[in-house]
Amino acid sequence: MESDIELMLRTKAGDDSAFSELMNRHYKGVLNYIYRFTNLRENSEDLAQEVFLRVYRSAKQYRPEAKFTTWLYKIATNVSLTYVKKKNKNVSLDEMNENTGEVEDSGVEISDDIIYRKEIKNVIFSAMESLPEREKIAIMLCKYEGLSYEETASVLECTVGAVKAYVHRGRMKLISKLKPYLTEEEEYGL
Amino acid sequence: MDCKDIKEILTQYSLDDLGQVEKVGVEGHLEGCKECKMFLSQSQELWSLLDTWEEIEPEGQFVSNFWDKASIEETKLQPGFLGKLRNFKPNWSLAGAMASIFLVSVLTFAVFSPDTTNTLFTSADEQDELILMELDDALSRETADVLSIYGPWDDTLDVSGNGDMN
Repeated sequence: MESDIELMLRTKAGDDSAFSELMNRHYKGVLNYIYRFTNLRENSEDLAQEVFLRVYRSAKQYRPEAKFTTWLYKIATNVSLTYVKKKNKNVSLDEMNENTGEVEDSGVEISDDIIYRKEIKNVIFSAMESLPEREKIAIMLCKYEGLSYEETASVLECTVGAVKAYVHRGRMKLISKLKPYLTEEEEYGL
Repeated sequence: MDCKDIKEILTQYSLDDLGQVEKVGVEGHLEGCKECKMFLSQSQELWSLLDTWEEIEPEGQFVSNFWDKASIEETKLQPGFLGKLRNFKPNWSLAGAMASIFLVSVLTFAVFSPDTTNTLFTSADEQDELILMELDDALSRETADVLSIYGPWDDTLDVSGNGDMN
């Protein structure tokens, strides 16, 4: 199987089928990364397309110096942050939690499981939103996108040690924010 | 190591990202510290809780949608005549080089061009030319007269060799 860099070099040489292959590999990851940033499904599709458009447009200047995924997630992070900052000026967090883009049929009884999953998703989103930007990005890349500390450090343009610290601090804050959804202290005999 | 130090490396411990010495130190501490044990458990539980935020699936047509969007963007990006004019950025170094070449060419031509004042055709020149032509004509007539002793020449000369010369 061809590496991402090889596909990107083929794209640079004008082979669009290579770029389609790259999209097939990474589209879902980028889409979900943006979705977790914005909590808006419809906009996530548009933003994911925007990320790949930017990559495609800059293919001519591509130099295989860094891993493709770190470059891709750096662009995805920039696109997401720009969007969220712009959006937060106009939309409140409550509105964002409500506008998930999921179609709900009011005539159908919604199961407790669906309600719980929707609630937990919004709670996690709110908890993530409250984290400092770098801690949030570090957790999202390491936890959800499966990037290594080294790759995350490359996206955030910092050291591996700093990424470990971001993940640790973010994790501590999330534990305190999501305490009601975690096992009670009494159950540990404290 | 105290609880604060342990908590700082518990994330790495749960990801099996610690050296052997630190790992043994953490395990020794956890044996006797309920608080850190609970923190580790909650930390692992949190990671599982984050997994409940389910992934979304992309639209089936995302690749073709992308290419449609890319072609629309490309059309938008192509500027018209006015756009090209607006986007025109002069290459000053090239313009400077061309201006220098032009200047050098003009100066070279000015210095080395032939003196055009000598080519003026005056009325005196015209008279001289007439005299020369008359002289040339007279010479031609004189020459013809001298040579007439050998003539007149027969224009209907028989080249087959059958007839006489005169």
